[in-house]
Amino acid sequence: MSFRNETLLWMLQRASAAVLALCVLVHLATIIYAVQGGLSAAEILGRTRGNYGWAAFYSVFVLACAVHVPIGLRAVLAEWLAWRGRSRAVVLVAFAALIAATGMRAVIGVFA
Amino acid sequence: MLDVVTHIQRALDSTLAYRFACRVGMCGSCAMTVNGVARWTCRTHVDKVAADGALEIAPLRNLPVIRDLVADLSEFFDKWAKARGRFEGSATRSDDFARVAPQSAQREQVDAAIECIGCGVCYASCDVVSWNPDYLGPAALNRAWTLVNDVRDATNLERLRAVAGDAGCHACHTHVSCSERCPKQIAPTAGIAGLKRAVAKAALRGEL
Amino acid sequence: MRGHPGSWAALVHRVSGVALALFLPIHFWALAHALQGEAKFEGFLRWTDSPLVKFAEWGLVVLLAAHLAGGLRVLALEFLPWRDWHKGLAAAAAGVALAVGLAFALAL
Repeated sequence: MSFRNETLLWMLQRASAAVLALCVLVHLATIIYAVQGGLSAAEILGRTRGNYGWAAFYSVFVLACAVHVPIGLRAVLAEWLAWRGRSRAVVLVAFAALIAATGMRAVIGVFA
Repeated sequence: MLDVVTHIQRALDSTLAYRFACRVGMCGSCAMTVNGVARWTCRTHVDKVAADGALEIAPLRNLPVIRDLVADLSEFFDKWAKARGRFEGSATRSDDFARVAPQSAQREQVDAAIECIGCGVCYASCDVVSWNPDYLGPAALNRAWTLVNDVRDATNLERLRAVAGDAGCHACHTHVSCSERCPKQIAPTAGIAGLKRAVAKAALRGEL
Repeated sequence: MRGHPGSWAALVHRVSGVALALFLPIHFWALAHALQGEAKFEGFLRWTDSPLVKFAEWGLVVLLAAHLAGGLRVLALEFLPWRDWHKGLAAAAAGVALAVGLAFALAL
């Protein structure tokens, strides 16, 4: 039934939003701190290399994005491009996989 | 504004079609779009809207036009029915009266939303209605909310199923145009948010 | 249709979300340069030193802050009991986003 599916997506969107609110606050604070005096690879990697804390944080961040972004785009595609149905679902699931895959690759990139 | 429209019909163009009834802000029949905003023309003073001396009067948005300033509200009321916006009790004439405390949390929710007279201003002001032809709209969902909180109603599960979905409460993106424009100061946004929570609760309990 | 704070807030929230969604894969691709070693990553970061890129970074920070503020507004409207001052949340969200943008610009 469409209403069960929509209810689940609504709950996932709000749950991932709550997680992302915390992640984004930390991320923005980190960015503003890190960007002072210029960005350098040494400085960034010095923070993240071998640091399980940052790795865990960014993994949660990436996975929450993989849930939140496609569900958000879903409404926009339906309302502004009149795109609904199976093909939209396929594309969005693929996009979720892309975010998760490229995101985790980046996390490993700065951790390893 | 209603005086202006009436004057046009009487003195300038007798073919002009427009709707009104009570003329005193009780029935909602005279709702039209004035300078881009849906309003009751009988309760809108020209001074308030013609800031630069120009007036543009159009029929309500998001509805088919029958002629001139008259919109067809059929889909508006059809969606009211689709949202199960009618009371369905289970008591019979041999049962005692229902006792509903006016200060109970649920009744206060109902009372805040019950005064809707179905004028269509909220529906005409809603962006999602214009983007999603199936969207039930603020008024229908607001009425469903009053019934969800009516302790005498016996069909709440069916009603929650009727209002969930991408044509229902989940399509509301909190633009809050409905609450902004409602001439009776009702906030459908609040009721729709309540429906979202009620549907989620029912889903988590496995009832949906 | 005449706008009001709430509809502008929702529009900003939506447009910023779409922009961030499109940017995200690029962001991850850029960070993955680190996989090629610190020197390559450093080289990439130096490319980002150009004023145009810095301006784009500032834009992204503002978009992120705007989307966060707009999102918090939605969560407040959907989960907190309704109050009349909720209509003012749009202005509050805009203020927060601009404050963050300013902080980033000053940090640069």
